[in-house]
Formats: sequence, C-alpha cells, structure tokens
Amino acid sequence: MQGLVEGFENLADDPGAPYGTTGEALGAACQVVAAAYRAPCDGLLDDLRSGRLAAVTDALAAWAGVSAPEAPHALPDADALRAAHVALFVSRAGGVPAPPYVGMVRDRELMGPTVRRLREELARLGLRPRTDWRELPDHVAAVAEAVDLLLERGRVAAATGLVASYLAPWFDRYAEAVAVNDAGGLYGEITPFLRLVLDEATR
Amino acid sequence: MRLKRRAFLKLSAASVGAMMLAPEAGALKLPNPLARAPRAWYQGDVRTVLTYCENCFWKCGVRASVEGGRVWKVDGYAANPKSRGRLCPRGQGAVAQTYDPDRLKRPLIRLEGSERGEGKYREASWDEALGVVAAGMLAIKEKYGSESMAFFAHGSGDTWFGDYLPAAFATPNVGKPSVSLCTSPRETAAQWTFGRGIGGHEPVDWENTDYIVLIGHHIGEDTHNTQLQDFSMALKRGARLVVVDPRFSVAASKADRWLPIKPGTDTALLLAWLNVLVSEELYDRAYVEAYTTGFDALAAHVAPFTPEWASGITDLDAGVIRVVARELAAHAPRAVLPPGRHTVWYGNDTQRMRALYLVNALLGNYGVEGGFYLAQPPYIGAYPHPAFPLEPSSGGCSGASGDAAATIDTGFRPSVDRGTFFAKTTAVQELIPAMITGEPYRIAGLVAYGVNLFHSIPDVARTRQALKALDLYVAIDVLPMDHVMWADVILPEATYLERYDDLVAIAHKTPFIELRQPAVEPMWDTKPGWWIARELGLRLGLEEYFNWPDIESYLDTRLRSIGSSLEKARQQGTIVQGGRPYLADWEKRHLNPFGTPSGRIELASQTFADAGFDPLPVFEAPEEPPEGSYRLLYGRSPVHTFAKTQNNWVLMEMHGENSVWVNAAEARRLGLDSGDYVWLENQQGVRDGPVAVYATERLRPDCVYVVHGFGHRAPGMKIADGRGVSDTALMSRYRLDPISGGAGMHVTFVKLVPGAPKPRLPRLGKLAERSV
Repeated sequence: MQGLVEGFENLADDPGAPYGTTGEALGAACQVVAAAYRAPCDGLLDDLRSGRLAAVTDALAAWAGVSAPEAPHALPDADALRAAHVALFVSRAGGVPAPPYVGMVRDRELMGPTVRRLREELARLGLRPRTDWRELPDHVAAVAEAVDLLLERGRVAAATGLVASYLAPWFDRYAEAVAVNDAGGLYGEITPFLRLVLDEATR
Repeated sequence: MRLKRRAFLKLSAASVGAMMLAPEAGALKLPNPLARAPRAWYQGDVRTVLTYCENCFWKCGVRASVEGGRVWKVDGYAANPKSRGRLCPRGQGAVAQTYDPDRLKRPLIRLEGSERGEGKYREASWDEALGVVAAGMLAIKEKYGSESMAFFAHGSGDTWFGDYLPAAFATPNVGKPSVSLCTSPRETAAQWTFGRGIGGHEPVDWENTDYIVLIGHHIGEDTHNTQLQDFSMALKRGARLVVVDPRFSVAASKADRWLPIKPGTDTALLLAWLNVLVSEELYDRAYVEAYTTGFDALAAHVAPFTPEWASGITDLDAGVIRVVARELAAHAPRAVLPPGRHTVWYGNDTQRMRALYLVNALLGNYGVEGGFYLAQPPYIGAYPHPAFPLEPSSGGCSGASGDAAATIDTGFRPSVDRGTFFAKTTAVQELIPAMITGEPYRIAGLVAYGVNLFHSIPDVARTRQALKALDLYVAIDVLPMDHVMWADVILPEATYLERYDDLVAIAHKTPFIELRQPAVEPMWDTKPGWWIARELGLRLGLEEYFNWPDIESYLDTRLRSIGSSLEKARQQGTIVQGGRPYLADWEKRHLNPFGTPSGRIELASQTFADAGFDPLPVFEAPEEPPEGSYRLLYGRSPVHTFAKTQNNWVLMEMHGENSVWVNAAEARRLGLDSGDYVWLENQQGVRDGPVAVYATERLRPDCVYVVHGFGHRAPGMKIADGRGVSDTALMSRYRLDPISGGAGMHVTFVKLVPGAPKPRLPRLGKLAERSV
C-alpha cells in the first residue's frame, strides 16, 4: 500500500487495515460520509482513483460482516458522479429522492426544530458549523464530520449518540431511495452499505 | 489505536470542512435529544427584523420573527403604509418558500453534450459559473454588439437585472412582464391623458370615494393588501359599487350592480357613459374648463354612442347603462373608475383605458378627493457613479411611457422592438422574435431574472424555439421553474428573507421608502441579486458602475441623501415623506401636475393623431369565438401570485389546483358536471390540462375562465408540478396594442374536450411533509 496516510497511528499507512474498535469503524464510516455526500470535488475523485475509498469500504465491510460495495472500486466518471449527486441530493425532475438533511427525517421540513436541537447539542459539545460552510448545518456530511471530530477527541459516547439520533435515521429513511435512483452508481451502492455499517456501530 | 480525523480521505481537508471547534469547551456528556421536549420558537430569544414582502409585488412592510437562525413567522408592520399591520395569506405563507427543499441551492452548469430543456446539470462554484456567464456575454458583445444581450426581469430585485446591469452593459433590450404583459396600456393612456403615469400603487382615493365602478378589476382576488383594506372600508362606509365583468367575481358579489358585459365590448360601454355625461350635461363643467383640452372634439365624437347603441354591443340594458352614468355624475367628484392593473386584453387597450380616464376626467375627479390623488415618488438620492451608456429602457409599473421618438439614445442601436409600437418602453414579448429571426438584429444572449418565461409570455412554442437559438441563456431564480431548467447556467438567488435589495421608492399620497434587509443568512450557496449583478459587472469590466464596496455602503450613501442612514433605516423599516395629493396642493405652490404637451388633461390627443392613431377612443368589435369554442378569460387567486407560488405548500393547501369555470347551461349542453376533467384545446390545436370543470351560473355562456399560474410542467417543483391547467400554454397568439406595446391576451378561444382522466397526483398533505 503506497502513500503515507498520517493519522492512522497503529495502522501505519494502510487505510484498509482492520478496525480494532467500534469507534475506529465509526470514524472511518463517518469520514466516508463526510467525504462523499457533499458536492463531489477533486479530492473525492482522487480518493476513488487511488483506491483509498475502496480500501476503507472493504475494511468496513469486513468489520461489519457485510458485502463490500463494488462501485468504489470502479474508476470514476467525474461528470456522471457529479450529475448523480445533483440528481440525488440537490435538484432533479420529480424532486430529489433523498434530501441530505437529517432534520427532514423527523420534521419533514427544512430548518425545523431538529436543526435547532442539533445546533444546541453541537454547541454543548464544543462544535459549530464553519461560517464558510455553504450548506445547512444538518447536512449528513456535516453531522458525519462532527461525529468524526468527537471521536478524534475521544468522545465516543457523544459521537455514538449523534449517530444514533441523527445520522443512522437518515440512512434508514433514505438508503432505499438512493439505491433505487442510483442503481449501480457510487451512491446507490454505498448508501445502503453505510446504513448497515452504522447500524452495526450503534447496535 | 485511534483514527485521526481528516486523515485518509483527501476531501476532508480543513478547507472544505463543515465543522469547527467552538472557542468554548463543550459538555462532557451528550444529552439524549429525544428526552427533552422541544421548546417553542416563540419561547426563545426572538428577534424582529423589518423588511418588505415579496410574495407578490405589492411590497408590504413586514416584521419577520427570527429565532435560532430561522424565520418562523412574518406579520404586517403597523407603521408601513402598505400593510398597516395586516398581511395577506401569501405574505404570511412566504416562510415556506425560504425553507422549500426544492429550492435552487448552488450554481448549476448544463452538462456538456446535453440539450437545453433536458435538465442535466452539474454543480459549479460561483466563480466558475459567473466566469462562464461573463465570458459568454463578452463574446456576444464582441461578435454582435452589447445590444445583442437581452435581460428579462421581474420582482423587487429587478432593479439590478432590469435596469442597473443592462444599462451599464449598454443594451436597450430589456423587458419586464409587468409592462407589456400587464400595465402598459393604462400607463401609456394615463401619460397621454393626464401627463402622469398611474404607478405600482394605484392612486385611487378610496377613503374618500362614494361611488366605485370596477371594470374587469378583480379586487379581492388579486389581493393587493392596502387596496383590499381600502376597498372594504369604502364599502363599509357605504360607498356604492358597480362591477362590470363577464364573470360574477368576488368583487361582483359585493356590488350594488353587476353588469355581465359581453367580453371585449368595454370601450362601447365607456363611450356610452361619456355620451350620457355630455348629452345630459352631467359632467363637471368647471373642472373641464379649468383643467382639460379637447372637450368639443370629445362631445362631437361621442354623440352617436348612445346607451341604446352600446346595449346592442355589450348585451347590457340601455336603461342600466344610462342610470349608472347618472349615478356616477350624482356622486362626482367622489365617484371613480379605478384603472385596474392587468389591462392587456384585446390589443386596442390603450384606447379603452383612454376612454376610462375620460369618464373620470368628466367627473372632475383627477387630483380631487374621492377620485384620483396625485401620487408622488419620495425623494432619495442615487449612488454616485458615472452616467450609464444607456438609460434603463424597460419601464415598469410606474416607468416612462413617453413616445419612442422623444429620446433615442445615441451611439447604440435601438431595441429590436422599436418601431413596432408607439410607447417608449420595451415589450418583453416583442424582443423574442429577434432571437429566432435575427431581425432587425440578432439577440444572442438572455438573462432571465425572476420571470417565468413559460407562464407569463404568450406563444410558449415560440419562446422555446427562441431559447434553443440563443448562444447563452442564464436563469436567476429561487426555484427550478419550468424555464429555469433550460438554462446554460443557473444562478440561485437568496429569498427576500435572506437578502438586501435596493431601496424601493413608493409613489403615494404620503410617499415612502422601504428597506429590504436580511432576516437570516442565505441558505446553501445562494446569493442576493445585488451580489450577483455586482460580481457579474466586475467580471464584465464595469467596475466604474459598481464602485461601491458592498451593499451596506451603497444603501447607506443613498439614505444619507435624505438625512437618514442604514442603521436608522434598519430600525425604522419604512421612511415616510410628505406629499401633494390634490390639485389644490399643487396650485398653492403654482405648480402644474399635468405633464402633457398642452399642460392640461388631454381629452383629445393631438399626439396620437400625429402618430396616426385615433385622437379619441373608438370601439373595435372583438373577434367572435368559432362555433363550439369559448373565449378564454383568466384571473387571479387571492392566495397565489402569478406562477410563482405553486410550490408553496402552505398556499397550495388553501388553493391547490385551478378549475375551468363553465356556464352551467353550457356545461349541461356538453354533458359535463362539476368535477369532471376535460382538456382545453385552443384554436390552433394546442391542448393543456387536464382540468376540473366548475359549472356555474357566475359566468356568461360565451366564455370560460381559469385562474392563472397553475399547470406547471416543472418536475423539479414537487408540489406545483402537474396541477391544473396553464392559460399561458393555451395562448398561442396575442394581439399587439400598437400604442402601448401590450400583448392583448383575451384573444384565445378554447374547446372543452371531455374524457380527460383525473390526474393521479400525490396528496398535497403528503407532499408538504416531503414523505413521498
């Protein structure tokens, strides 16, 4: 495995090395969510081309005891990936099948009470959305990043709570819709997969 | 062993992260979010922001209640002369648009290789998207000249895209639907009768009038807040009401008399009223002598137009026509025929509006209590910048309506519609043919700001053809409207609750200035119109016109010209000035309010005669519907604004679908019951629907009626899509008013085609929950 990936203290430079704890697996899953569900940019394409993302999903599959998705192994078509992201999460004829906001699951509306509650909880945990984050505070990528930050600080219980309360319900609600509307695509495969991983991590 | 964040996936670099550590330390334990009862927003730290509404274009002052970074409620603002503390359903429901998940969220660029209308896009940064637009505009300027860029704009942000940027870029091809698809006949007629326009806030002195005649004026259905309040109070006070309309409208239901006139014959009725006022010497002789010119010509002109003559044309009883004229005179000058707003009906509309103004003039009510007051705009200085190469040309509700020859800017080609009609303003629908034919020169680029091109401009097939022929098509909007998803570049605008706009100056009895200010930060990567215009301007090399560092500086500079400031205005919301509402106020100052060539109210217009038009209004018989067809009439819903609000679930729960009104006897003859679905098919075979039948005695048998704004074919708008019928889709033709440039749109005939299936659509309540 090439390339030095700083941050894996005991896993040397192998993003596909097995996970020893639930926290590690949860952190990796949330890094995937944080990386993939915001607008696809060159970084994600590099992660796909280099096989780093596939290595992580393979390792997560092994940890959770589920089948690994194939799509991360394919060479990405940048335009197709971006178009799929727009159609699934941003704007599409017929409405987007999976609004990428955790508040939608409970409130059925944007910026509802769940968002306010999430903001308050993040503030208590010492986190807040960046001012240059041009998305809503309850975007799945933002919540996943918050979980990852908490794990980095050793706040495993808090992180797991955020996943159970916000992130996992979103995947429960929308995984099937994403799978149907992006069959064979990256999102269509990793969304139901991540749902299983998050279920396992919060069991 | 632990994972470090931002480690193995490149995307999670700090520069694109979503979360940051707050300076304060967090709690150690995560409370269970489900264990606590949610606190109601109004129990929190509620902040009030004064701004003005945009869910229609009446511009009511509002108070937005903000808590936790979200707007929860919008109410009327008591100190604002538009709302007076009251707000219509559209205004109160506006919050739902801001939090509509279907909103455009970030710039989109059409995928290479896809066709316009396919709706295939990728996200782009603002820098990239604006760069693409600017490069396209500069290429068009280089190849064809700056005049080959067109701008269509509507809404309170249209200052930037209907006036400021086009004038700086130097194109005269700017169109606003609010002109030639709405008010241009009444404005042009007023300009050449009184020498003053009507303006966006109709200067009817409701509070002092005793007798009101509405002609095709759907007050109560168009819900212009102040006007509706005034109208209601006038009726409560005992004012008498006559409604002239082929349909028993909401206003008609309040009337002392309903005159169910044959469509297209209003000018005959008005000529008959002029005839009675003159022949029975019921007009205000002193007023006519003091303020008008051309009375003798008018008297001679209307002599043949007796109520009996008009009766045969209008289907109205001659006795009733005569009685109404006498009642008008008996109540004069506190009797008024308001001009209405949407006056583009049959293509000879300027002359009809002239006739209406002449009746008012003979009643002696213009500039007099109980008639029309003399609205004046407030004073406010412009932000200093070099003169634009071209003056803004589109006009507006209160825009210039002078003749085309009066001021032609030099050094640039005139707009492509110049010469096709008399008025100086442009006509948005007349700018389209040049996109297809290249005559008199090519329009190669279009920026559409807040205009629904497929639901406002007749002949939709022609519009689609034109869009396909463009080199560059840019849409700036809040929602993925039907036409937006044809654009090469889509620029998402912030809603009115999230942005500043330019100051709005309302001509009024007491002129006032309204400030729009953001209640919350723009959601997603949306931007205010001013920002988009300025950033485009900078990329187009127009720095000298955008020489203000930010909108706050721009607004503050303007406000300081009247001794205020942005800080004061933010607290005040509305700044009211003094006015001169009546003729007596002007005469005290030795001022003449009449800006006509003669300096008087021109009953006969020599200017029109010189331009080859009738100097006095003449009735033209409308084309009759073919056998088996009905004239298509259209109107408004009190809870919707044009085609802008049909994705707002709050408003759609109140009115979620239009129906086609059919005279009950006609419906029986056709074997139709209320609730049956039909297609509507026009004289050229264009079909739209399905739409539910509403069989009613409230409509004449020679016409059908629908509420405008429904029938979206916009799959990106989950609530609006596929509900009802579009009147615009059926308007394959219109009739151009050669004086004002207005597009007469009451010239469509439709058949009812039975057997249409009831549309299988998701229940609105479900859509509101976004659970399907």
